[in-house]
Amino acid sequence: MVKYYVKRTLLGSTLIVGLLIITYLLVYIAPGDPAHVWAGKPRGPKATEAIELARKELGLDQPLHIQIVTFMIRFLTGNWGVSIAFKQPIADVILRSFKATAELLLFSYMIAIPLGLALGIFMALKRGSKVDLLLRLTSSMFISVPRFWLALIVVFVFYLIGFQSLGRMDPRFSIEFKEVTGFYLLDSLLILRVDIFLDVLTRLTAPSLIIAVYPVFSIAKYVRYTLSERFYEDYVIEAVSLGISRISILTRYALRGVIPAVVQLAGINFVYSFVETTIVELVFMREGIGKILVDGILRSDYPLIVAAFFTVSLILVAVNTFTDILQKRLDPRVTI
Amino acid sequence: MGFSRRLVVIAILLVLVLVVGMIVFSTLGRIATPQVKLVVYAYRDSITGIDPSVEFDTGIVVLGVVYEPLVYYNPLTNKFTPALAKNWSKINETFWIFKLRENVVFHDGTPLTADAVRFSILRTKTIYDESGLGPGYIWDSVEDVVVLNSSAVGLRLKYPAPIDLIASSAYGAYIYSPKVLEYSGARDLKDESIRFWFEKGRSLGSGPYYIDYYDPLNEVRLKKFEKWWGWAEVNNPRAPDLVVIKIVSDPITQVMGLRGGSIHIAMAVPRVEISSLVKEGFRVIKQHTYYSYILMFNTRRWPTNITEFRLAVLHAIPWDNLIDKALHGYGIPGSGVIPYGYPGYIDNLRFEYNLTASREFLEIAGLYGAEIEIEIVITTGYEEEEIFAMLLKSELAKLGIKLTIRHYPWELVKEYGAAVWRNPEEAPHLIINDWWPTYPTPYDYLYLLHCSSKEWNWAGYCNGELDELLDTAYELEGENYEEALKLYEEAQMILFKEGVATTLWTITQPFVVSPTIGIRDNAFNPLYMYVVWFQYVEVLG
Repeated sequence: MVKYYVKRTLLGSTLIVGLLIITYLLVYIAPGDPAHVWAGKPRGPKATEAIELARKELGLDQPLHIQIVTFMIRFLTGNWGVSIAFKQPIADVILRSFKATAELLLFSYMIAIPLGLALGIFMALKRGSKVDLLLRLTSSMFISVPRFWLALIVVFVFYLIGFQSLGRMDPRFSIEFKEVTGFYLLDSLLILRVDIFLDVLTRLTAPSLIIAVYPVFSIAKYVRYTLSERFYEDYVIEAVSLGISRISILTRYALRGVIPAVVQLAGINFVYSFVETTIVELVFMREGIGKILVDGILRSDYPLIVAAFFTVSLILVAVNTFTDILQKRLDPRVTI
Repeated sequence: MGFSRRLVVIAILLVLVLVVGMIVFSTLGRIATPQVKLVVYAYRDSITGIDPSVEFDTGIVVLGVVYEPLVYYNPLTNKFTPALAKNWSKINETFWIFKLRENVVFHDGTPLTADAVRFSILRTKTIYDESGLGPGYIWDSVEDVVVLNSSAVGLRLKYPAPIDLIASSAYGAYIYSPKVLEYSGARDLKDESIRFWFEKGRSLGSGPYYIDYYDPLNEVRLKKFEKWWGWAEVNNPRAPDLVVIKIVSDPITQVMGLRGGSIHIAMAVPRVEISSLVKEGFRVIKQHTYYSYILMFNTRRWPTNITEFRLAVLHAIPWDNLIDKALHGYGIPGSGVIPYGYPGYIDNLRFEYNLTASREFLEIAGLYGAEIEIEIVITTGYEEEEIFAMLLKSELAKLGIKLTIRHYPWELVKEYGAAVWRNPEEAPHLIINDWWPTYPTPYDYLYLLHCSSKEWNWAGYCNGELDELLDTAYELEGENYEEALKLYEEAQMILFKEGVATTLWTITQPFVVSPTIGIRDNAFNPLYMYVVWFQYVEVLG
């Protein structure tokens, strides 16, 4: 197991460094002039001078390989520098947004995994029935519907039933709200404010439901398919003949073998959800990593883009490693 | 109970908790939010900075509320309004005195003094002189800022200049406490640590609101500054206690926010949505701006290097219905380069739609009937530019000219525009440069076509006569403003006759306002792009 951790860490680190270099190269060849942004779109007779000075300050006048080496050394030693467009320490910008994205994703998966499992089991039990057909059609529809459109519908529905779904919290609470961890749901509990908790929960629910759509239905489909197959396995047929109910067999024996794969599937889905989050956050007026990437790319803010990609890569590698290990723990037959 | 069964139970419980939570929330008659007068203003772009001496872009929406200059000026009414200076006078051509208002304190509680004025102006000017950063060039004429006593300051000039107009600049004229040196641990006013101190979300101005929370990508929260000197004058007990400037880049989300009540003032609502919002009870304030879209021709590339060809294109623009089609009526047609209502604006520098004239110009140029392909670069996401380009394309097709439309993000548009100096063949034949003012001088717009303006003169136009006129006029502004305006007019005539560049339109900015919010007339000043002066906003609901 230790060998696996070491191997996995080395592999992950190499992957991340590679990604960093590729990201830097992509940003380098992409259009836009970071020096112009750093100089603050200068006007007046000294505009050109300001841009040239900015180019020197940023080291953009150096050959590409020197730029990459300098940047990597600084970056990997923890000096992430200052955002070119927003003039704030990059670590601060990333951390602030990351917390918002993490809260959203974690809450989404808290809904998605159990709900997907429950739905999958239900569909497996009702296999071949009209309900099963309806649910399969529904899941196919939800998986293929563009998230942007779905998000707009949910905002509208929440508006119709009188719930606020935009933003992370009612701005009026900001006067009394004290940020402790940056996870608003948790913070509201830590400061013992149920009213803020409910407000945050309501605003978190709508975007979480959108992000949960894909993992819920993909898990449900997988569980349905796998469990349905197991109904034809010898031990199940035998158990049924002994008078044990199908639901009992399913939940007590058959499902046990499905869980590890569901964990793995959730890990893979997590990558997809991360991408979806970028869109959902924009529609729901929430801060997050997605907004950083969009703004960073539009403003040629290459240190911010690289840092954001680094953070995302780190999380994805960590999540996949975690799910691999969890899968191994749940099913000792799995070799990693 | 088995592991899997527990999972099912957890799933059901989770859904139940969510449903029950929301029902409880609903039956409680919504959460009792604190009794705070709140205004949420949806702004389109991220904030690029809040250092009052350096910021030269979108940060104005924050700076304009948090900081104050010595004096305000509104070109539309041609009126000055005292801000931090209660009065001012020109002693001679090169010396002005500003007497400061008493009882003004900055957000840290320190009083406004002549030293603060000196510090702020000199920092802005020095940063520009040494690095070219920020709007400090507006103070180019200033030789020194002299502290006469604690409440009077003198500005000694190198050459005559309209200092009252300069002091009313929307950028670079803000006054703040010199205590920033101490707070930031800076050695002197040039020290970069001051800039980063500000950019962490701190404010040290004297305006009616101060920064409480600053996240340039998502939102800025401003709190009412109770010690603001102007509250008694404004007499607005309904002024917001808390202002949230929310960055909402998607126009549809702005509409949803308005309808849902989470946005009170929106500035980027799709124009086609406005009438339906009005029917629902929302109010639209049509604010005049100096935000202009200037069409520039590449004068260094064939065939737009030929004056007659440029004039042929200009006469093919469907001017009569351009504002209606491209802007749904929210704009003013251009005339010359300077926007309507701005110093130096001339009303009769308009081209008319006349394809016969276009054909005649093409014949003179020897290009009529020739197969010509030209390209225009427009900014991605700017719907009005796209409509304009499509209209022009169809009109030029009638003249046998093929127009290729290229869309790029703004940063790339700028790069293509400036490429006209390096490699004119790489730069497009036509390009739109959107421009907004710094301080009210015609030079601000006309400098765009000055030969030395290598970053913004996307026409690549170089005309010694024009440059001479502009420079002379600029120097004359302090001595003989009327004469300076005449020279600016001459300069505009040259540009008009040669068809180098023209303003297509100046934006009329629609602010859509919730019925729960009242807005007084003086909440806007066209010099301050997208700035809402919240001290004049009333929370009615």
